[in-house]
Amino acid sequence: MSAELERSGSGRQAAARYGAGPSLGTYVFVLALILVFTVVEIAVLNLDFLAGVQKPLIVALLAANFTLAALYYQGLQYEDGVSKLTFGVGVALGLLTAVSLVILLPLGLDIRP
Amino acid sequence: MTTKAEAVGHAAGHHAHAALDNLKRGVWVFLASECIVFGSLIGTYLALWGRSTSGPQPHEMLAQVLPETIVATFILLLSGFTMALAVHAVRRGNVGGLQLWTLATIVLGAVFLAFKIKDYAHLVGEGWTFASNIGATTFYTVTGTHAVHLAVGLVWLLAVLVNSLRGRYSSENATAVECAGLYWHFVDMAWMVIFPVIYLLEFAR
Repeated sequence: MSAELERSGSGRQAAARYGAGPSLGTYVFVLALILVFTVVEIAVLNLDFLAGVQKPLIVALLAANFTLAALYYQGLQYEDGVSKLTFGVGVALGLLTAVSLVILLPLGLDIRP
Repeated sequence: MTTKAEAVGHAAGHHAHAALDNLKRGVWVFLASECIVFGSLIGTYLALWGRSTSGPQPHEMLAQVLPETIVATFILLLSGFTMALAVHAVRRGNVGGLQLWTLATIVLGAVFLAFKIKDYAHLVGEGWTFASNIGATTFYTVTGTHAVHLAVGLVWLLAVLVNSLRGRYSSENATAVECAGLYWHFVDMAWMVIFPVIYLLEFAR
């Protein structure tokens, strides 16, 4: 049924209006990657030979998951430049806020009597 | 050559599309601001990490709920996939698919929320309340804010499902579903950060 609609005139008009977006195969591939990355995030805690690099590895994997979901699930990859810039600035400011707090808040706590 | 009626109709359609595009752009701006909200909460959690001077330490308590949280995480990740399928379906005019995948997303989201409530009940039952120490306060603030966002998302998706059953969406009119999808994916993405930072980094070496 979906394929019939895709071939129909309204399907073509909708595709022109909403853009192609990711295909079903892309969604499945992205889900598979996210699940694998999450399994690895959890598994590294049990891998003793990775002691010392477990934290950076987990942070890298969470960043990969976040990026994959933003680009393909949210469809940022297929959005116009304004939407990409808007969300990109939000993510950058969120990151900056988090890093600033991690650096500055302990300093504020340490100078308390 | 177009008639006056056709020109008026075309202009009205153009305005409707412009309004829908602005709605989606507004959701992107809202989600950008949400990044700052979660950035400040997670930053505060990390800044105060290991500074609890009384009561049970976070790693002692989180170890008790980690297995259930891992299961809940995979359920939420799956809900992101079903939400993507719902948007994919409505873009192609498959309203039945939209209803099916939206319902699946609601069920998966509700199960995740049930897991969180059960975890909170367990932790509070063990005496680790919001006021136990700074670790507990920041933990409940970050995960509680996420849970509230998820509950809002469930209400939004229920509205999408009801409107869909009333025949309000089609391949030509899918922006409202896309906006709900953007929000749900953001809730999913926020957990992709919160889960490793709060539950996994606590045990990493």
